[in-house]
Amino acid sequence: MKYTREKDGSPLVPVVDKKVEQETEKQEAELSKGNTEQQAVDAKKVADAAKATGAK
Amino acid sequence: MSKFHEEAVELFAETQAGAGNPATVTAAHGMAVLELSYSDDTSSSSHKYVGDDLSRDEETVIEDETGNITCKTFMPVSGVAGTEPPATKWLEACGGATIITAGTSIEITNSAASSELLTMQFRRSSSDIATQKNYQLENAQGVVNLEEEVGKRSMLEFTFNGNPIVPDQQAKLVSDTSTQKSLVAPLLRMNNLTLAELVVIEDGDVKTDVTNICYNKLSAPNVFGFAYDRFLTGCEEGFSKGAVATDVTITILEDDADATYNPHEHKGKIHAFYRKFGNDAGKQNLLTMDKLQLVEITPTTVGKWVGQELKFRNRGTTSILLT
Repeated sequence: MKYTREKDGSPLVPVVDKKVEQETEKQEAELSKGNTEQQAVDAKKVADAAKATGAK
Repeated sequence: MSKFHEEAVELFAETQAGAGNPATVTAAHGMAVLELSYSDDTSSSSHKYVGDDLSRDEETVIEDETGNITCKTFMPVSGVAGTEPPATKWLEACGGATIITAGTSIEITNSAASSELLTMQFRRSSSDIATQKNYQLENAQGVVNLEEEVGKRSMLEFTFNGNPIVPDQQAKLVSDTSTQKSLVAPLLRMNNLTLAELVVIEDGDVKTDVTNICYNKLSAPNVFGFAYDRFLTGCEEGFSKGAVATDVTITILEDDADATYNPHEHKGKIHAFYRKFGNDAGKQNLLTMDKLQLVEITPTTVGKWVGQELKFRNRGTTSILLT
């Protein structure tokens, strides 16, 4: 982990790694995609349950 | 078949963007190291099926495998004050955070968090073949020992552990380590040792301050003080890290009982140690250990002179400042 500071005694500011940022964005995109897929699975479960119980 | 020369080895390492996300290694990621070795560590359990008395049907289950790389390199310098040498990325994977004060200094310290992971490649080859056999470690972290002796170069000894992949064959990659080789700390000698200070602290105050402790050796295994436990989960395999106190041994010449510093008088007390060497800007190195508890004094020798090996427990922070 890298940090910068203006001078001795100044607060440390983490250096944000561009590669890490890109990876985080990629993971968030995958998570979002995963959520959409999960919603489709959930919708199917509800439809199957409705079918099984004869509900319309 | 290819035959690999024992001396034809290369080591590369690059910081990963995150766990399970191996970095792309290039020639620029080569490490200028000495005494390089690679080994696999396998953990397994054996289970014998019940059966007749002639059965040898014992199954060994390979449960986990880790890879281990050890190497040494010389203490780096920044070259230009405030410029990071390549070695900082390896130290960051050993728990030493890099603090950059632009134009002024580079500090590597365990007082700030650093849990970087490396993708490492240990490659075997020989001069007459065009490929290298690549032993790759991912999610690698490690510990670093600091070994110093006046009259020798300050040395960093690394041990890295990571997740190994099955070795694969790669086109030959020749490491570019010219920058590292030009950024090596000068020989540690009396003429450039500008500070070797041992301070005894009692009730928060400086009790005794020896500004030129006549020391010969400093040995600090696991200088940043971290221990690792292997962990395996369904989504990540790696090492979890925890801070631990470590030993620091400083060898000094034995002095009169009524000298400024009589170690036996300060057994159990907290000390701080400062060591600075390098005469020129960009080549200076200040080591600070702010909380060392003196726990053991062992007689030794320095040449024919009587010496004392002072063993401390390093209970505080450690910093290496490059200026």
